[in-house]
Formats: sequence, C-alpha cells, structure tokens
Amino acid sequence: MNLDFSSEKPIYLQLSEEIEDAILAGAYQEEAQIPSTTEISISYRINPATALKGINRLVDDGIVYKKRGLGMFVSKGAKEKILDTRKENFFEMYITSLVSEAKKLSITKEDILKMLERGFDK
Amino acid sequence: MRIKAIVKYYLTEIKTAVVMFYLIMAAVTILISYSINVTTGDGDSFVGGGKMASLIFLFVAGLSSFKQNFLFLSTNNVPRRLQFKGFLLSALILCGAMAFIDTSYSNIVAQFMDYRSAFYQVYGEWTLQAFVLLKIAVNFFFNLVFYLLSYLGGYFITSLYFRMNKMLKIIVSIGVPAIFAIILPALESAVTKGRIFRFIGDVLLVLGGLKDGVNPYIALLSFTAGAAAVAGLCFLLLRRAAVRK
Amino acid sequence: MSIDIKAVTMTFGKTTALDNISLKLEENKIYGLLGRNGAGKTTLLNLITNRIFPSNGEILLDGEQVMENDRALSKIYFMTETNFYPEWMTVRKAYIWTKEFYPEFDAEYAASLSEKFSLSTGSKIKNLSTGYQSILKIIISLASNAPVVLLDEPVLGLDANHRELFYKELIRAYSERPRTIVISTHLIEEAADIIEEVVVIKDGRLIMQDQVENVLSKGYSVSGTATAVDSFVRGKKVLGVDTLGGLKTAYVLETPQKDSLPEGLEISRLDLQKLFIQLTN
Repeated sequence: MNLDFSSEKPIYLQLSEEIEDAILAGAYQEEAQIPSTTEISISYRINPATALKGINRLVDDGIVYKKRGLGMFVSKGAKEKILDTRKENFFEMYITSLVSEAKKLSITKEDILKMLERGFDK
Repeated sequence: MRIKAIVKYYLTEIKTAVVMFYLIMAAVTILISYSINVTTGDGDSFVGGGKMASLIFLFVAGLSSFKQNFLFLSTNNVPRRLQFKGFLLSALILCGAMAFIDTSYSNIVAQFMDYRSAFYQVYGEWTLQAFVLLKIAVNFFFNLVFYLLSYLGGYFITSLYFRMNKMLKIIVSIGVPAIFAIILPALESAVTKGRIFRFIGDVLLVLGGLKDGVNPYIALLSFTAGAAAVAGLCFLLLRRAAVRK
Repeated sequence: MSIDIKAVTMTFGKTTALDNISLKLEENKIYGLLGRNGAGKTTLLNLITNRIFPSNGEILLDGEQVMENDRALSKIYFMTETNFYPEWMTVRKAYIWTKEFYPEFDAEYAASLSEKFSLSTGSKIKNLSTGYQSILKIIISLASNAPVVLLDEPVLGLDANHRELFYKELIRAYSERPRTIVISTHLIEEAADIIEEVVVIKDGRLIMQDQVENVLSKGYSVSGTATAVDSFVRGKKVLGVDTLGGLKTAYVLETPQKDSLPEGLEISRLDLQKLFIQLTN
C-alpha cells in the first residue's frame, strides 16, 4: 500500500480507500483483524488523528467494526458494500472527468465509445 | 525533588577539583615540611598558607561555577530561583566541608607544633580567655564565612560579566583597576593626603571586631552580612538572566 | 497540557521579535510552528520555557504562569538548537542527569533509541557531529516523557534515514503516550503529515493557526491566461501570483468551488510547503 502525499485527495481518504482496496483484493478477509491506528500511523508516518479519521470513515460505512479491547475487524459483507458504493461513485469519479477532458481535447462521443471498446478488448 | 538534583549537580561538578586540590596540598605540605625540617626545623609559616590556598581555590571555583551550570540547569528547565537556592545550599556544603577540614587540620597541628593560625594570631587576646571548644567552633565559622565570601565573590564576578554587554565589560575591565591602581592613589597623595585609606582601614578594623578590644563575634557578624549581601547581588543578576551562549 | 500565550510581545533593543502574539496550544496535539528564518519561532519557544522574559504579555501552562514556576517548567522539555551541555558530559551521563531533573525519563527507551540511531553512549557530547547532537537531543526529548515537548529544528543535520526514523519514533512515542508536541521547522513537506495543526508566524506576527486539513482544503492555485485568471480571482484572497510568459498562476486562500470554474482555467490544490511559501513571502 502506498499513500500519495502530493495527491489532491486528503490523506485520511486515501488511507480508507487503501484499506478498502486491500479488502477487495482479499488481503483482509471478512472477520479478520486490520492493523491498529498506531501501527498505521507509524508505518505511513502520519498523525494518529488522521489515521483514526480514515478508520472512522470505514466504521461509519459499516466496513470495519470495533471489538472492545481487541482492535478493528472487517465486517461481514464488507466486500459487497465496498463494491456497491464504488459502483455508485463510478459515474461521478470517472465519467464526469472523462467527458470534461474529452471536451477540452475535442474528442467526440463516438471516439470515446470506440476507445472504450478497445479498452475492454485488451 | 529537583532541589536535591541541583545541589547534587553543583557538588558533582566541583568534587574532582576539591579532591585534586587537597591531594596537591597534602603533597606540598609533606614535601615542604620534610625539607624545612631538614634545613631549619621551623614549620610555622607554611601551615597557615593552606587556608590562603583554600580561599584562592574557592574564588577560582566560584568563577567557574556560574555559566556552564546556569546553562545546563536551564536546559533542564530549572527556574532561576530554584537554581540559586541549590547553588547556595551547595556553597554551604562545599565551604562547610573545606572549613571543617582546614579548621580540624590547623587545630590538630597546633597540638604538636608551635603553630598559631591566622585566626589565633589576630584574635589571640580573645582566644586566651575562651573555652577550647568554643574557640574551635568560632574558628570554624570564621573560616566558613570567609570561604563563602570568596566562593560567592568569584560567582558574582562571572555572573556580572555574563549580564554585561561588550561595552560594559570593557568599561568595567579597564575602569575598576584604573580606579584602584591609579585614580585613588593619585587622589590620596594629591588631595586627601591618605585620609581615604585610613578611613578604609578604620572601617575594616571595626568590621573585623578589632577596634577597641578584640571581638571575633563582630567579625563573624559583619562577614556573614557581607556574604549575604554578595549572595543578594548574585541573585539580582541571575533573576532576569537570559539563557544564551 | 495546554499552553496559553496571551498578547506576548518581545523586543530586543529596537527590534521587535514578536509582536502581540496570542495563541492557544491544546493538550495532546502535534503542532507545526512554521516561519521563515528570523520570523520569531525560537524566540516564542524560548518565552514558553522562560529562557527569556517577555517584554509584554504572559504565558500560561494549564492556567499557571510559567515564569519562574518550577511546577510548570518541569512539565516542559525543550529541545534547543544550541547545545548547552557541559564540555565533559558524555551521552550516558546526559541521560543520567536528565533522569534527575525529569523523573519520568525512560532510560531503557533512551538506550534502545540510541541503538536504533547507532549513537554511541560513551562519546562526549561536544565531540558528536551536528547530526548526532540533534539525535541525542531528540532521544532525550522523546524519552523525557514530559507532557509538553518543544522541538526546535529537530532534524538539523540528520540524513534521510535518520529523519524517517525520527518521525516514526515520534509518532510511536506520541501514540503510546499522548503529549503536546510543537515542532518548529522549515522542512515543512516532511513534517506535514505528522502535524495536526499549523501555527504560521511572519515577522513576529501570527498569520495563521488552523488544522492542516483545513489549510490544505483552503489553498489552491489557479492558472490560465492573465485576463481569465485576473477576472476569476477578483474579490478573492490572493496570496501571490506567478507569471510565466502568457500563463498566469494565482495562489488563492479560499475553499475552491470547482463548479464555478470558467473554461480554460486549471485549478490545483496547494501542498503545505507551497502554501507556506506564498503565505510568508
């Protein structure tokens, strides 16, 4: 996992997305423990408050949950939830910027559709 | 308690120097007494020199007791007032220990030799009538106060220089010797005709308890007051001192 | 413990090093004290620890005056740039003596850190290189376990590996035992993700105190043709501008509204370093 400190996205958001990615990739199975806030903040060299904020976002979304005195664990159905949310966000995150950049470069709708086909065939 | 740590630090800083000083003094004493015994058999003069050496040692130790200790204690965030309390306590312990050693030594030597220390020479009249233990006790306190005065004096000078800016340092370094070595003697011979020096001498006699009879208690009192006054000045200098190199 | 700086002014002769600064540092947060050389960072830290006396104003630690106050001062450890250790002192002795003055000092932790940084504890402090003198002071600061730790240019002379190690150990120590930490530095980029809140001073004046996150979400740069940029930034808080040929870049301190961005203008976020340069220029 790697955080991009020069990115426009806030660090805590990057962190929670990294953990989501790891869950999607199967690195953290459901009901498995994820690293503690302290471990995360040390290995990424970030303020513990930032790490906590990233984790709390996952807690709020029901992706991880806290076991008192034990640590944070991946919720049941976390993978589904992540996939659902990401699909919902797909349009906002990719299509909107794709279209705006295409307009800037005067790429037509037809051209884009062709490119998409090419991309899927690869 | 941080005060304990401060006293411990001051004493640790000076411990080696004190031990070295007494080792050298012992070596010199043995060497000289051996050679004098061989030549003349008279051991009077050099035994008393020990106390003079202690005074000089303490003055020099005082000179080097300010800056580094102030900076080190400040780096540990010890407030100035507390630093000063610790310094005074350590000064009492240091001077007390040295006065004890020196007083014991000279009083023991006096048992075996025809030797009278400076104190017995100056206050001879009083010592003749006083009770033995009282004599030794007064002798001890007399040394203690003198040692304190010397140690604090050294400390005072370095703290004074620490507080002064470059210009003031130059003025004082040149001005003070100039006043005492040139201006005052010139004034004495040309205008006041020795009256100033006579006056100073009189004041010293009164303070030393030597005017109209011999009274070492007056001396103890006035030199204690003197040491307290120097300590007060030192504190005034330290009170607002900035931590800098 | 929290620090309350109330209307503090510090003058040295005719120069004003700090001009009527008021700020509050909350308990158990990591602060970045930022400012260019000579802005007054060290003066401020010296005042907090009563190494010098303010010309005006007062400084409180949990509501208590720090001036000549042993109870307050003994709660603060201040790592200074200047080395005030006596000539004869070795690293080991420095640890022993720190323990005398800071009873919470963790000697075992100091020893393990010395090993990690490969600092030989038998060396005399005055013989250490600048980097290793910094390391020694870092170790003492972290191991002091003081509730307030002030670090003045802590990574001075440290190589990249040691800097990395320092930041990690700082976070570890802080996570295990939260405390109020103030890092004064001009290497902002490195420290940016560790700091929770920034305090920026310029020419002795406080010009910003805010959460790093807020600051980052506020600052952005907008570039395009000079006329487009000029009309866009009208009425906004512009920190500075750069022009390169026909291209103009303006640095703005405001929450960017991407929707209102006219065609032909590029907007991008400012990182802390760039923002700082614009703020203090």
